[in-house]
Amino acid sequence: MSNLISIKNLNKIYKTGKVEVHALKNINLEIEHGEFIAIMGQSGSGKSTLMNILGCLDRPTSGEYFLEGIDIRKRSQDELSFIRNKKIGFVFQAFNLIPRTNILKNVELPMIYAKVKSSQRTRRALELLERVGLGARMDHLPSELSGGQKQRVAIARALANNPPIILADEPTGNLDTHSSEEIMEIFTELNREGNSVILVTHEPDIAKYADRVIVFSDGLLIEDRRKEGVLK
Amino acid sequence: MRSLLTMLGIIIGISSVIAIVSIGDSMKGVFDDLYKDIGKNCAFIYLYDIDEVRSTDYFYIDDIKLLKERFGDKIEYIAPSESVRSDVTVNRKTVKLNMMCIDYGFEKVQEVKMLYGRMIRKDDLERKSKVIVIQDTAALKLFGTENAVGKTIRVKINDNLEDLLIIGVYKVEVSPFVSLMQGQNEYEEGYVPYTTVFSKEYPFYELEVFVGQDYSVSSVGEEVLSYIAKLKSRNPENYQFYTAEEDQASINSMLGGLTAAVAVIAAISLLVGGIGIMNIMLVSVTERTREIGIKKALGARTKDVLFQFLIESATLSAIGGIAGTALGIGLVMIGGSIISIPVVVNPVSVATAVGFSMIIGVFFGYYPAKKAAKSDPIECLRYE
Repeated sequence: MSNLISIKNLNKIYKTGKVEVHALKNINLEIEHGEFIAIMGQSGSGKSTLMNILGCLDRPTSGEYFLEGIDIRKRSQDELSFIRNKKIGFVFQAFNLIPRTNILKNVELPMIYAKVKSSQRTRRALELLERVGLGARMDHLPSELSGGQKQRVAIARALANNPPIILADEPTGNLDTHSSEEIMEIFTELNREGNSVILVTHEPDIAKYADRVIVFSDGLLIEDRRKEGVLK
Repeated sequence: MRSLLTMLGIIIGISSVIAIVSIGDSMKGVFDDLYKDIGKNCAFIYLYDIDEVRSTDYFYIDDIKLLKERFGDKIEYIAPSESVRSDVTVNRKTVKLNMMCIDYGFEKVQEVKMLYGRMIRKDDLERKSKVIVIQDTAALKLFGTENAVGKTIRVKINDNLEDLLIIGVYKVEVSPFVSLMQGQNEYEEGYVPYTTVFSKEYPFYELEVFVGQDYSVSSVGEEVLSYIAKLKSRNPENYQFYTAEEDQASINSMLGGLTAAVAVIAAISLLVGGIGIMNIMLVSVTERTREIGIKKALGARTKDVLFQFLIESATLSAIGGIAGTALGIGLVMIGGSIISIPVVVNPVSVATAVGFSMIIGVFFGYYPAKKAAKSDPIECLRYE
């Protein structure tokens, strides 16, 4: 089976007017199934750009990106939507829940786009909410929850279609220390169950949960280290 | 609240279209009724274009007899189109009376609702009876009771005072709207036998003819015209007839044109309402930029987002359309009950209006929806 993620000589260049920004420079990266990776770097280092490309929200300017053997560069917008829906579970810093619908419906949303049957959808969404400890609050609106609870809903939503990758962009950026720990424990547990987790962060405290840390600076991958005792 | 304001444009547009079209249809109904009173099979025959008019060119009682014999059941009723006006005073109460000179059988071609007594009969005509049938309000004003049968009133006919015996009282039902259309009418009405009023030598300018139900008004009219022309040694062009039907057709076409013109103006307000929908949808798309980004990140395709916004704007305008329809019908009903005319609401125009409002929703919602669907998820997620 092919690697989860395979990136070769990847470049991303933004053009804003006449100024070209070389956001990612010749990146090579292999990620296998079941890894727990933290991508670190200062703001402007290119880590968010990589995150967008890994999440199939953006396409590279040059180079290769294969996601479970699928060549992302050749896909149309709607095909990318389909891939995101099936392969990637997003967790954002700002939670990004739909404000006017209850959390059960929020968790159901990716399954609606995956055309899962209504009864099955509700059952699965409830299961996931129970798993993150919010089953009793399924009919609450996101605004009625605390930050940590919102992020747990977001994790439940990311798991809805059982994607191979969970992609978390500064998931604890808006949370206090206690909630951050809770959230990171959930990620650790998910990883232990076999899910691949990629998180983007600038906090070393958060990065230490991961087994592998990749550091970016100025568009370059400058460090790729594994925790001691973790086998490749 | 904002949705309501948005829908207001559609509500007003649709309700005015419905109201205007219904008013048009109702007016048509009123005029239909009005002409039903006169009779669709009724034609008026009169002298039209004669250079030197001879006294024999006019119509006389003998002509009527000849016409009756000649045309048989093609003519259901024929009488001079004449009436006599006179003041009537009983116990110092005065009523202006307009006495229509009729033949017997008048009630067969025109509805007359008898309250008391009887209508004018054949023997009244033959004997030139001094009798009259008056309307209920006249009886009430003169005698304080509607049942005035057997009472006598003194009227002036051809400068002679005559005592007429009231043999019947009938009821007139006119909606306030029709009476408004007919103008201020200070005269009470009554029927007298025409032979009582006119002698054989008295000329009439106009004849009132009701053509038998099985015959066409225009073709019988032509026949009568040429017969009269021959009788008077004139050309048929010298006489003319006009029918209520023709009159009605011209009023209907005028009304139709008027309705269409006002409906166009109302349709413009619908257009404005549609632009309102587009405006609010654009605001809504901008407001929900982030939501669109989230949905796209979670796997929404272009058409998922497109449909979401299209359905939203179509729903918005369809609800507006239904509310507008209810409002429009309500307004027309209230208006109709105030001037007490029967209201006609055409289901086709209602369906058209609601359908049209949905089309407006889809049409004006398309651009904002497309804009939302095409947007870049990264840009949307970055949007604050």
